[in-house]
Parts: sequence; C-alpha cells; structure tokens
Amino acid sequence: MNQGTPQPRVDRFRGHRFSAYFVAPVFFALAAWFWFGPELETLPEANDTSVHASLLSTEPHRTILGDPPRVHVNGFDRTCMECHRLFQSEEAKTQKLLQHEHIRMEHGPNVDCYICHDAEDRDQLTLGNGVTTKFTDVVSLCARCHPSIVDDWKLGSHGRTNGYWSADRGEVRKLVCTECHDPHAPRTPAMSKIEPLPAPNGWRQGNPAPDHHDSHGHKRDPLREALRRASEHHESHDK
Amino acid sequence: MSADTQQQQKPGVSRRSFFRGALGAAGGMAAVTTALKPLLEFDTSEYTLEGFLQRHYKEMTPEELDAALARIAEAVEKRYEVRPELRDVKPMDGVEFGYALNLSRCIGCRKCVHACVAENNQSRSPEIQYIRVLEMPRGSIDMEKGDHAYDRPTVPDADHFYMPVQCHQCANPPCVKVCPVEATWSEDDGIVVIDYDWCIGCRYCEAACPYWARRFNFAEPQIPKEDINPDMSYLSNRPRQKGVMEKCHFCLHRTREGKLPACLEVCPVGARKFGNLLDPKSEVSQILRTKHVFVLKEEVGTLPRFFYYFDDDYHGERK
Repeated sequence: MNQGTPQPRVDRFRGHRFSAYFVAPVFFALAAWFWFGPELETLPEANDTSVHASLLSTEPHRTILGDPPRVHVNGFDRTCMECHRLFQSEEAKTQKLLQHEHIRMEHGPNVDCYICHDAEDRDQLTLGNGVTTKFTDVVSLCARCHPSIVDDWKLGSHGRTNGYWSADRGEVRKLVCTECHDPHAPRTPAMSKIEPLPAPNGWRQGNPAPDHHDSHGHKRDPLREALRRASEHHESHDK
Repeated sequence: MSADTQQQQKPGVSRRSFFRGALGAAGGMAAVTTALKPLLEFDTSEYTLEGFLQRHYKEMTPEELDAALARIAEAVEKRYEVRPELRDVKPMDGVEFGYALNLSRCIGCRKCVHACVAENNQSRSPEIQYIRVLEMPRGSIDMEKGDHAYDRPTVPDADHFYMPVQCHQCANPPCVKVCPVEATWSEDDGIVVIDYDWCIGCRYCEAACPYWARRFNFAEPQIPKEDINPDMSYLSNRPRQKGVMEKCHFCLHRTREGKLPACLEVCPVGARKFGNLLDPKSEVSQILRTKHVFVLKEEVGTLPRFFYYFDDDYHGERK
C-alpha cells in the first residue's frame, strides 16, 4: 500500500534519540551509583544458634534397678535384702518412710508398699497371691492395673524404642515403664511440662531470639520484624 | 519501505557519528564491567573442574562415585577441619521405611527439630530446619490454624496439641514429578532423595510439596566447625552449598544401617515410631494395623509414608 510515499524521517528517528539521550544517561547514573554509592548492607550472621548437646540427650529419663536391685543408701551400696534381712519393718505400711525419704508417693490410692513390693523378699516385686517377679520384669507388675497400655507398649505404640529398628540389625532398646515413669509418682516429674527449644526464625541473623514477652500470644511476622529492626538500625545511626 | 528512504539511511561515517558511537560504546563497556564487578568477589575456591563435570548420581560408575566422594570429603575437611566418614549407603532389599507419630504423646518440645539440625549438618545461619512442629488448637485438624513459631515458657499447653511435620516420603511424590533435571527421585526403600550436586535450585519441588517439607539454601550455609557431624553420606547429610534444595531423608545414613533416625532417638515421650513397612512384626506395621492412623492431606493423593495417630484412650486432656 502507500508505496512510493516516503514517511517523514523525523518521526522514525524519535525513538533512537530517546534511547541515546535518555536511556544511556540512566545507565551511566547506575554505573556511577555502583562505583561511588554507599556500600550495600550485608545481612549480619548469627552467632552460634546451636542448641547445647545436653538438651538433645537420648538417654532414658531414669536409671532402673537391676536384679538383684542394688541401692545407694547412706553411703552403702547394698541389695534390698542385705538390710531388710535385719529390718523387717512390718509396721511401715502407713508410716512416713524413714530410710527412703526421697520417695514421694503419688500413685493414686497405692500408698501401701506391699501392693507392689514383696513383703518377704524385698529383692522381688509381688504380682499378688504369693507370685513374685524380678525388678527387671516390672512390666508384668504394671500390666496388672494398666493392661491396655502394656498392650500398646508391646506392639510399640506406647513408649520409647532406641537403637535399631530391627533386631536383625542391632540391639532394639525397648525402654520399660520405669525408665520413663517414676513408679511411686508416675506422672511427675518426668512427664511434667518442659521448656521448648527455640522456635524457627529465618531472620535470626545476628539478632537475639525475641523474648517470651515480645512474641507471646501473636504470630511472629518475619517481614514486619525485619522492617522494625531496620528502622531502629537507621534511627540509631541518625542520632 | 521505499528504496528512496533506504538510500537516505545509508550515510557515510561522519566525524560526529563516529565520536557519538565511540562514546556510547565506551560507556556501555564501562556499565557492563561495573555490573559484572561482583563476580570478581565471587569465591571460586570450592569449585573444581571435576565437580563441574561430575555426572548424575545414578549415572556415575562406582569408580566415579568413589572419586566424587573423595573430592567432597576433601572439600569438607578443608572447610570444616573435620575428616568426614563420607560414604554412599544403598537401600536394603525387602525394606520400605515408614514413620508413625503419636499425636497424643507429642508435647511440642522441639527436641526432634534440633536433633535433626545437629545430625544432618543443617545451616545454623540462616536457619534451616526439616521438622516443623505445629501447635494446633484442640478439636481441629486444620493446618491453617497451626502455629510453628509458638514461644511458650513451658509446653505442652493445655488448649493445644502438637503436630510435627516433615518430609512424608510420598509414594506418589509431586516434588519428584516437577523436577526439570531429575535431581530428586524416590529410592527403592521409599526415601525421596536429592543429588545436591545435580540440583539447579529452581525450587519447583518446594512449590509442589503440599507439606512444606523442602528447604532452599538462600545463602551459604553456616555451620560451626565443632558442630559438624562427620558421619555423612552422599545423598543425606553431607554439607550442602548455596542454591540447592534439601529436606528430610529419614536419616538414611543411619536407617539404612539399621539405626533409628535422630528425631526418634531424642524424642523424650516416645511419640515417634519408625520401621520397615514390609515386616509385619515391625512397630510401624503393628501400629498401622491396630491404630486409627491417618495421613495429612490425603485428598491430594501423595500417598505419604508418614502416618499420624491418636491413642484410643486419649481423652484430649493433660494435667
């Protein structure tokens, strides 16, 4: 169409001038900014945010008595029967415990020692009707009152397993009841509330973790937090 | 365009146009040089030709893999001053791993999170953590209501339960499907792994994962030298570099040798259960048979190997 009609030259070159006189100076200005402008702010790096290894212990909560049970009382390392052969203490049923003062009885209505301990042989536990079992077989004793939990423990849903996931590969360390629970006070202290380890915080780069009062009750907003810190940073520089 | 115009457009190089062009070219060169200046500050000491030419994990011959392991071990030793026991652990025959987590037991102490960080040489700054413990209001399983930044003086809180989330090692993993370079894949024992040397850092997998299980190294990972765990394998916990993805791999350098994962070992309440799904006597298999287990976001069809359950005698109350 429009063949032979030359278009006005000035219109077609306007764009080129635009790039020559406007875009190029922008690049020069940017170059100058990068050379002579202020240093880019680098994010500070956190000090060691690692959690201390002692908080990540895989040891059981409690060490349990073996067979025969050996206890440390007043500097002596003795089995139960080495003392109780001499002290039968039949009257101790409802009395305050004298030799075992550290024992706190908070196991529901079970305040009588001989519900679980065998009255004759103190190195054994009693399952009732004169049947006794070793301290290492404490699970059988617990199963008398808590059969459903012991069932769960047997199939693996209740309780801790450490070590290996198959007996073919190594020792499957299945913790027994008393390695987590104090038999005299099963709920506490091992199952009490504990302080949680630090929350995730992608912005914790050289900044201390926010204290409990700061963030308690509302969600931490990383972006808002960063902006707040940046503004504080600039204010402190202006002064 | 007419022939007339074309003739007018072809003037000779005049003095003025020459200087204008020369000035523009010089300015352009200067601008490009300036823009490339940060490359001069780029630390290339950790990049080697062998590393650049290294092939995909699945394509490497045993000799090439040994050479790669030796090279990586040397780089780790140079940077962290620890001689790592770096190796490649293959899946075991007849094993498919599964994980079960008892939500009635979890108290939200975050020991699993930090044991995982310590075991798997995760970056301490910026923080990278594979496990996210959600604090959820009781009576709901709506993940939108979960808060992973809870900061209480003590846990557990009576009005909440706690749900740790990590990689579910899906049998139908969306992250594997979207990877444009096949840097992530599902192994024979069900673990979804990443070849950190093949990953290009496009983060498609992070977007595809419905469980927010994948993490990206936005910056060069910082790990204190004394905290490095020297027990490493190629596909699991060797130190990663900036610009690659990482995620939970069920501690495969431990579990493929029979051990339990670090998060399970440290759990103080025994909420975490791990084992072989193909062995009917394993803990996870028995839990799957006897407990009412569920998976997260079942409707998206990812078929996770990570199961949650509540105890049957769970009353929803803690003193």
